[in-house]
Amino acid sequence: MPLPDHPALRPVWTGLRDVQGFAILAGRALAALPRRPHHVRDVVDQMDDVGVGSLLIVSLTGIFTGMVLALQSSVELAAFGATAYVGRLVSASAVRELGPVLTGLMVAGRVGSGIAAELGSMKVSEQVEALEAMGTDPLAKLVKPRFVACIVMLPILTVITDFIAIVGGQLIAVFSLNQPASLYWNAAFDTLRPSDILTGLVKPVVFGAIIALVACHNGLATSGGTAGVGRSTTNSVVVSSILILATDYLMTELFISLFPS
Amino acid sequence: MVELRDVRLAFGEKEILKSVTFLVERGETLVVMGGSGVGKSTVLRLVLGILKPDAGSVVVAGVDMAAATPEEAKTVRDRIGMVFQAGALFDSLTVGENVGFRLRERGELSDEEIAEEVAEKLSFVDLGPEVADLMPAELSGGMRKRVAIARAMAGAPDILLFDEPTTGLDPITSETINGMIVKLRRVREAASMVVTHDLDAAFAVGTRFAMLHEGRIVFDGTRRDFLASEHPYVRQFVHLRQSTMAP
Repeated sequence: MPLPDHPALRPVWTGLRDVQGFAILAGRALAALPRRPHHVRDVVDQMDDVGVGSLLIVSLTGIFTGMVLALQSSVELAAFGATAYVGRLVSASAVRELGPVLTGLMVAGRVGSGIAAELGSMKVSEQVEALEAMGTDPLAKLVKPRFVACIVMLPILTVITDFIAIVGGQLIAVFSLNQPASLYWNAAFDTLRPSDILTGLVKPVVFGAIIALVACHNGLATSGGTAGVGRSTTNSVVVSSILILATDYLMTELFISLFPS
Repeated sequence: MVELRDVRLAFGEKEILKSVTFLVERGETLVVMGGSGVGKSTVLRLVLGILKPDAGSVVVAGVDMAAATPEEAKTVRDRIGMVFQAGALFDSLTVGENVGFRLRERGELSDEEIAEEVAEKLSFVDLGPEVADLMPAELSGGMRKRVAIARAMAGAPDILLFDEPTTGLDPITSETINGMIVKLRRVREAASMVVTHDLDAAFAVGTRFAMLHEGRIVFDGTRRDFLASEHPYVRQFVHLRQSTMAP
């Protein structure tokens, strides 16, 4: 049945078609995971790009986040003479929330934009059609390796961000608050529960899936030449960032109800 | 080898192909001509099975591409070599990796055998083996087209499709590319389709000529019949070509 063609409704239909396209791609990508061909070389290349390529930015994100967390919390805690708890605050905030979310946002900016731009350029220069013409499924060759790389590397990058954030907090605790390092690290580890570690590892898997699928969907839906590539890249970063923040809230609600303190 | 029967295709409200029928046999080169945006490249995408017709049938190597399963479509595509308008070489791969892409994906040959095959295909299009290490961005327009032809030849396809093979090239390079298309038909005895609006290129490579106009094939025949056609659009096409060549 044709959709009502009213100018005011067109953005709604476009949005719905976009969601439908995204859902179909997500379903096909998940279904393709266990199926051959696996394109192992492409997966390894993508893991290198997503993981090793993002190490510097997630390390910088981690260290500055940890230092700011320690500085801000020390100001508040000093009012109660409780600066010994700085380690607890830094590690809890980093592992439960800031580590996964900030890593997700940074990777969405660096890797998501790169994927959308690369696949978008391939689409407008007929390279995606050339793949199909040679009997290669673009989903298996282009989407699956990026999807696998993102869901595997995001948790690893998040663990690195978490650890470096705690190290950043330690720098402030030791050099600014004159705390012994052992006091800081004991406090940092004491506060963490197994459920925190689980939360901190499940979230980045979901964020990785969001980054890869949003970027691949936008890239492969590109039309309109180089201007279209620019639009796809911007859309990819904006949509995946918002989805990361929204799913973070939903997952936090879920985990709090599953593991009440 | 390739047969379209009463094919209709629309994009949204816009009907691109209303009724397209033709047949291409082995050893034949059908040139499909027509104005810009008339749907010539769309016909090639229908043959590849990338697009499905709204009505009619597209039968390639005995398989109906509209009803084919993904596996059947892949088997047919393995027999097709396609040269895209701008080459569509993979930017992130070297020339050698581009030419050997299909062979590597099939996984039947060793790296050494693929390298030999790549060198042979490059030599067919008059390129030395040293070109294999270059990136597509380092190639001129003519070299890109040659590499695209070499890539299309890899895997020994018996159906060859060319989308505007000489567009944007200088006359001498165009002549070379046309010569390669003819050589390829003779060597491989393939069923070839060339889409172009360049009459010189069409006459240089074609054995049969079709004119696509307003969604229909309004002419299908030999060069002699084409030049003698009474169809108003064909006459206009030929006449304008002759008037631009006049001193």
